[in-house]
Amino acid sequence: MSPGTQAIVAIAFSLAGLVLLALHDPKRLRSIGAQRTSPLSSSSVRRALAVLVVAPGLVLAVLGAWHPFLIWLGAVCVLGWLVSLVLATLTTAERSPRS
Amino acid sequence: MIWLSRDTTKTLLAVHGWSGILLGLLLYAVICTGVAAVFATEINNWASPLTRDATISLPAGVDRAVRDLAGQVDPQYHEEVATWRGAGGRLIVFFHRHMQDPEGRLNEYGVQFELHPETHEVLARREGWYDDIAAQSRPEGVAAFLVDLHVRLHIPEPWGLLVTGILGMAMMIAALTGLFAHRHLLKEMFTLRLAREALLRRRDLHVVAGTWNLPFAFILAFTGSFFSFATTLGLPLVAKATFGGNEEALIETLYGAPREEKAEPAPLADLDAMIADAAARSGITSHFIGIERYGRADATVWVYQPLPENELVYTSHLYDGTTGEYLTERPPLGQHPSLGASLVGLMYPLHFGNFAGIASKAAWVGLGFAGAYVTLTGLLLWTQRRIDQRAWQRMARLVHYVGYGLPLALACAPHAHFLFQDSTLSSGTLQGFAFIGAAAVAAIVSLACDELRRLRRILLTATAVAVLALPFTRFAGGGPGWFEAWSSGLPGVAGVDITLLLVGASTLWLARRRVTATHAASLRPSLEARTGSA
Repeated sequence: MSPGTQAIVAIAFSLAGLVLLALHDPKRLRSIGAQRTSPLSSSSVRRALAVLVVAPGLVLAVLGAWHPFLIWLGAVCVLGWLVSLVLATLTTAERSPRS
Repeated sequence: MIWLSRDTTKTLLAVHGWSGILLGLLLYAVICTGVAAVFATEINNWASPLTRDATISLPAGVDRAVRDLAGQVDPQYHEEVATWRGAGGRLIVFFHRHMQDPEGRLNEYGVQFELHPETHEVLARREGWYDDIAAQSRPEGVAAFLVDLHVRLHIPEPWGLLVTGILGMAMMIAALTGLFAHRHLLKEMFTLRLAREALLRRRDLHVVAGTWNLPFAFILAFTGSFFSFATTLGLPLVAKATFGGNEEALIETLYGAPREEKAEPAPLADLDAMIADAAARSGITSHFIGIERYGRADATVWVYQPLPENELVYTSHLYDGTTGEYLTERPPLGQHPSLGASLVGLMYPLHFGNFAGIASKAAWVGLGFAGAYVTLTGLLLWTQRRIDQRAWQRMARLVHYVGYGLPLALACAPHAHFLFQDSTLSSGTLQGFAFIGAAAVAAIVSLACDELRRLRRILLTATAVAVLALPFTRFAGGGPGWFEAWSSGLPGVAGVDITLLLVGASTLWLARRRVTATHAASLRPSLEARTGSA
């Protein structure tokens, strides 16, 4: 598997974990006025999701695949921010009529 | 959560804010240009395409090319020869010697040839100091303008490097104080309250982006400061402290003493064979060759290569120039592998992000963009909190001007490069005029526009138009169209054009995007109605 493919696979796994973490983040849900928190918001589930986010990078590091590891690390930092931004924009757009 | 006393947190926040507000606008300029500079090679290949083989690897036949050219230059410039690939894959060969320039610095003076990499036809010949030759090189112009702005803000050496080094340190301070001052870093990493009042919204935008960007903000700031200070402060200080000010002794310690002098003439061994040997040793083709004392019995050849797969520290290969015998492998620093050499070597991939082609560069552009966003939202937040004071209202206007006017000026600069191809002025000068002209127009608009939200919209719209027009200006300046580029094996030209069109369209969308009713309502009762939104 080429370094680029390794990085893409690792990023895809981490992105799935990031989206789940963000969707069920208790503070985010409270801030948008959700009536109740999701079952996935429990701390044990969130820890498991955090492991899902970090694990692909750890695997790359253990394998000594440093180029995919650095791409993964940079991409996860950017994607975490973008996931927060996209979810907030979508939520705000759903709840507010256009001016 | 990091527990600190209230007073400590307040102090850290003050350090965080003031370090940002005092240097933030310059730092923003350095980060923005750094984002574009990541793709310097691709930008050059797009602006001045030449051959389908536009890689950085040295092409076959370098030996013949160097030998032919050596006979065309004054032998005094055989002291050192450097060979690499330039814009569009052009082969650059620079014969030079080291001399004191008019400013008293040790500099390189010589003759540079620009060759077609396949036919070895001489496309350009330039003679002079290296800085002047580089400034005259039109194919490298667009990226060189961005890189110089990023590295030294176009301020003469050594002051420009010192300024950017200090900016890197300010960024490190801001990152560290931000880490400790923000109590709920992990808990709030997904919390963006966009529909709430303007101040809270801006605070969330800054904090969430800053949280995610924190590790790389520190890494990029640290490595950037290292590169700025290494030659301006680091080397002279170490030389003074350890070698009594003798920089040559320090350089000999770091890179090894020159070989025993043998001034008698001797032909150079086959360069192509050395390139092939280095490729066989590390599995990767060379991208830079340095020949010391060309044509003499003590000639030495340095062969440099990009990072091999999954390596993070580059090495170079040293050959006897007359016999072609392999001498040794050298780390980035010193004569033998060491932790220090590895750490110095690590700075390069971590700062430039060029270790794995487009994939790593794309990730680094994303990180750089996030860094610019954090800087701008931080400046907007700081000014918004003090907007009831007249001085801070002016500062808010200045932040809007630089924040949205700088990308406009940067997008306008390459138009001058393309539209005035036949000008006697250098590409850098032309782009400088366009940059300053666009900045001046943006300044007038910034002063004339009452509402900051409107100012943001005007400047972003103008930036979008400037970016969208770039592919057309490139074509108008004599560049190949998409069909011609594709049929010539230059798909990168259309690739960059399409990227620019997408960036321009996104910027236009951002400029024209209407705010939500909740957000708009939150702006009305506050001073935001006067000052606009980010």
